[in-house]
Amino acid sequence: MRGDHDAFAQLVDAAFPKLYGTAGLVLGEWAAVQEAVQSTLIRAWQDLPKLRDPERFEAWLYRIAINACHDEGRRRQRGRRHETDLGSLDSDPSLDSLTWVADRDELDRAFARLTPDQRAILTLVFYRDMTVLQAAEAIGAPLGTAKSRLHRALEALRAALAAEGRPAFESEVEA
Amino acid sequence: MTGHDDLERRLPDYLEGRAPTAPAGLLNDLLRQTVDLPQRRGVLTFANSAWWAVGAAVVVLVAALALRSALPGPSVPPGGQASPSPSSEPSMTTITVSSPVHEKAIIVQATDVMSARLRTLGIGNFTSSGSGDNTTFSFVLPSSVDLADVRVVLTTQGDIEWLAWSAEPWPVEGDPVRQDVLPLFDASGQILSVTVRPASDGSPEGVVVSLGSLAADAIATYTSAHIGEPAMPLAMDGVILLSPTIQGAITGGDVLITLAEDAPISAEALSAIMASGPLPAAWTASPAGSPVPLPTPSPTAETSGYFVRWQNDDDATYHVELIEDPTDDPTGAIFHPWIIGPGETGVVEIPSTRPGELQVRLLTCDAVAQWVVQPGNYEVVIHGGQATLRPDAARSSLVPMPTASTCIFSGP
Repeated sequence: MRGDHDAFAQLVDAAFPKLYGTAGLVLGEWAAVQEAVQSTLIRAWQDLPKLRDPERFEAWLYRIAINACHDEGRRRQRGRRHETDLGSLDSDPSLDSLTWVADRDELDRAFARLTPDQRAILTLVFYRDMTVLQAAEAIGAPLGTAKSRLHRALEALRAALAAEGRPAFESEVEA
Repeated sequence: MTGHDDLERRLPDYLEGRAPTAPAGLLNDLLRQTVDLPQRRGVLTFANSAWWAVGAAVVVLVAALALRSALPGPSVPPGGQASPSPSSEPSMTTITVSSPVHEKAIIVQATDVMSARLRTLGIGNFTSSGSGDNTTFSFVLPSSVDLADVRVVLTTQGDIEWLAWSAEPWPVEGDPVRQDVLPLFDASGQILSVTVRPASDGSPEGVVVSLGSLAADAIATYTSAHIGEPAMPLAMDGVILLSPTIQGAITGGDVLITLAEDAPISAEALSAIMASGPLPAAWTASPAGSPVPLPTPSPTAETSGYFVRWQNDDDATYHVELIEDPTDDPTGAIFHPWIIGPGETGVVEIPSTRPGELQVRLLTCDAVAQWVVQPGNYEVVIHGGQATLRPDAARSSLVPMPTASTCIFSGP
């Protein structure tokens, strides 16, 4: 078991930074991230004997993580009363160097208005750099569902940006 | 390039900048918490399973079997089929299932799986309510659905495995899976779609399973090496369900599972289970699903409590929840989320007539609309991205009605 745990730790170590970032983006509330990541690692360790193919460890880990994010999100929602807050992303000064900083706050608000499912598919594809097929596996959905969810997530993000008064970067599109 | 393309091009940078960085030392702290935790049942250790190949496949499994009594899960109650007479009013069937675990999150997760299974089975309108370890499903049983199948899908864990049983002694249907036999692939995430193929021209009904590329390739590689052998049985919950002989190399990605009339599970139930995924464990059901009359919209029918009717007119699925008053639980209301799919209706009866506030909450994944109302009968109509709460005009109320209110929320 010690050897298994060492191997587990080694694999998790490689995946952890992006896994943590993914949980943060999906949940949108940093306070919830650690809870979700903690339950992810516990669940992954406990279910490790069921993993058949080590090469699929990361996809399997992400699937657990996405489920943990959903569970944590629901748990926090149930704990709320009389709230309609959709959660917000804390400000990150590192973005100030970006040329499109003027868009950031609007994009923050627009991204926060997406559902966790939508944030998850966008995060897996555009942050974790998964293919849609890999993302489908991570969210536990058929490929077609993942494709449509990705499409709808992008549409929702554009709609949210439009609602913020900015038409999805059109002014910055190169000729 | 379009503006849309530009958004997609900028998203990686945006997300990279917004993603939080894990605090230093957090991973080590978390790993220390796991090292002493026991691991769950499994047939493999971590390092021994890099054995399966990748490819594309079609499997045709044709099997006849007689092991109904050998499968785990509940037995079908004698006369369990709800059969309202043609002239009678529609009757409500209730089935209560009990969780073997006491963790609420797991019960909620299992209820989601059960709900998906019911929909796949053809029961689109139902309510679920939870109390402790018990979850009660109420529905009008469609004539096309067998009550026995409902009980099976609500209780069977449904852990499906295609096994690489490559040597004698060959598998026997109904026997437990040998511990030294490995699954050919991890079925979770590899079952892309499942459909029932009706019986026709003397062929029994079956289940067509479309597999992901990893599974399909593994099957193609494996079957090409084991033609003429019953070397790839299908197991569910650790018991051999089918053990057909491989007739030829199977390529293409679709699996046809053909079930005999005396198979331990129907094609409909198997399809619902495979399409919706496994439960965390096997649940147990109450002895029988007993039909009870539907509440009628008359004052006399309301003396036992109140009703909240949910109507979802949107093309989206919503989670809804009744919240008990945390100070007194005056309503005995259901503290459990359930799911109302597109076009579906749900009715929840609140059995208590004790006075007190009833909190009604509709939640999507990231938005909550909540009303605090007095006990009474209500409709919640979800339409066009709005949830409207109003008194149920079809049911006279025993208490004053609240003012109708509307809450706008963002749907999935």
